[in-house]
Amino acid sequence: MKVTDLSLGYGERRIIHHVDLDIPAGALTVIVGPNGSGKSTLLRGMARLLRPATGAVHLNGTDIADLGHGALARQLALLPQAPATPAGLSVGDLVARGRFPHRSWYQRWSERDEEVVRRALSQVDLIDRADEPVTELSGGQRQRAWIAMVLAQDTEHLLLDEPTTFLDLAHAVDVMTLARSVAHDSGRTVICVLHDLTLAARFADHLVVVSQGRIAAAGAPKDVLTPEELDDVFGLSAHVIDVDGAPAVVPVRRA
Amino acid sequence: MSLGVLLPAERAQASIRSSATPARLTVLAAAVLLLAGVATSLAVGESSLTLGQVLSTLVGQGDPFSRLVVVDFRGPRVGAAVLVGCSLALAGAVLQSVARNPLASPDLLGLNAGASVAAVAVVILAGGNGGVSGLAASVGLPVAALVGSLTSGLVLYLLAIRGRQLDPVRMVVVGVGLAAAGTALVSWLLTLGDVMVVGPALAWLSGSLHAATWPGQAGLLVVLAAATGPLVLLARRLDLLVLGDDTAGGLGLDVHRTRILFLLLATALTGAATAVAGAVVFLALCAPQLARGLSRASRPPLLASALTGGALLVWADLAARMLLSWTGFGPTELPVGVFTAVLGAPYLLFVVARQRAGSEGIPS
Repeated sequence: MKVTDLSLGYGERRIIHHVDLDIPAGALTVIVGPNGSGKSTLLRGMARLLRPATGAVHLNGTDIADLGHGALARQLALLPQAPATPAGLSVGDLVARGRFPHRSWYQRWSERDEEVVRRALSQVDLIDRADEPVTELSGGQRQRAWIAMVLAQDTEHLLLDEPTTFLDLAHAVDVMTLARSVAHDSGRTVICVLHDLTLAARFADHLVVVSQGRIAAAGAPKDVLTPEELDDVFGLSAHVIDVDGAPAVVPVRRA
Repeated sequence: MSLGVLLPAERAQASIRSSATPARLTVLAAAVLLLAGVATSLAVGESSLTLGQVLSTLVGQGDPFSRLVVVDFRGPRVGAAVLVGCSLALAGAVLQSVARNPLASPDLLGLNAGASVAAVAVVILAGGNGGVSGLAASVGLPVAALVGSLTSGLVLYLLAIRGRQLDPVRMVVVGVGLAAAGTALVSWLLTLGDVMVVGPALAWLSGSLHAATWPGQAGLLVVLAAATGPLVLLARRLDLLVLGDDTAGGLGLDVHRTRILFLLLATALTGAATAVAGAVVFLALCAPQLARGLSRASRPPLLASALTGGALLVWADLAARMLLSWTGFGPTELPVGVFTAVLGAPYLLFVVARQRAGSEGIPS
């Protein structure tokens, strides 16, 4: 995925200004930034939920503005932040919704659909709970069910908007481990917006820092996350240490 | 997928998706209730017929008297109850899915009000002594109601949607405002009218099938038939809309256009139904949620909602027609709209109470 000169906004209000970005294929890219920096807006633009004011997003050389709704949804899946879960919807039915872009209105549910949905459910470890209502699941399980839905969409690109919001640390780590394994095991391009720097630093292959609607830094986490950068962008005083070969952000304790 | 419930082949083996059995049973039960209601309504009245007489008349073999009663006297009324009930429930089912809100229905969203204003305007301004008749009644009234509900549908859409996003709560708040404005306009129109005209207008406003005729419901039949095709083809899209705008968009749905199309269909169904029966309230609110609860579905199922709506209105109309004479208050009848309101108001309170008990905010 390649982003060129992308500007985005709502109405008159411009939020993202002329952003250029190269997203590595088959890896987990994490977008971080302070509150209100425009990271979620950038993700929405990359998923074409917002039309660009300038610039374009290309998937494998094709401008996504030129793709039909179905064609785009077969190449790129998006999990919005805190999606609405209707009461009475079973886990299996939710994940089955992910097959929508692969079925025309006249097509019945196929064995292929069934197989992909089963695989997605196994991947998030919910295959035994397909009959249960999504609303009955715990927060972590519910988020995994939603991730299974975008996995069932069977796309090369996967966009996740703050998938760890409202989750405690253990479940957040589960979700990020899953996102990373999806990228590495099946060679998909996963792009994830996070507000938690520690998680971002631990799991990202490629880290993008957004600040005031522009890219402040992009690259490997150990190159991007420096105490200077953290102070500069986030106004955070922190040590950056190396644990298990990945950086960890440790806030400075002031007396 | 709403019609998927009728296609057993689709789920020959145990599927990862939930069973369609509750949905099929709901469709079956509602259909049986509807047919039983139609047969009973045709049989019961001032001069009672046996079920055998009704059935033989329906297959074209009844005696002339039964035929007069079934085809000419009671038929139009029962037919209108079925068509109006199905149409309003369908409109409600669609609106509740699009708005992701179980409180969304044509009456609460002000679509009925728009139809009422336009229709009452026709009655008051064009009506002669004793209400409208002739061309104004057979063409003017339905067209006015349709235009009225489309107008309020348009206003609703323009006010409820900001930046191409639909806020479920905002939509209901705007709808309540529209309904209030409509009621005020109707009251004002009524003060302008002649006493002889206001009476029939008031009767129409409270929702009545009393004056139903076969030609009067032809328009509704056409609208219902025309709406069914797109609804069957697009039903699957409602499954996505209830997941929210961004999710639906990410799954490849053109949310904006799909929503306009569904609102248009619901508005047309409401307008056409209101033209026939006046303001029948609450039916479009209750029937879809009843069907949804019984089907254990994530949104109101279309076919089951329509059948439930038809069945409810047929039985409600029978009760409205006969209740006072059965209880010894003489041959007067209640307008069916009064009856559905009496049944529907407690239901509305029940929904609100249940919603507050749930931790999930607004279930859709």
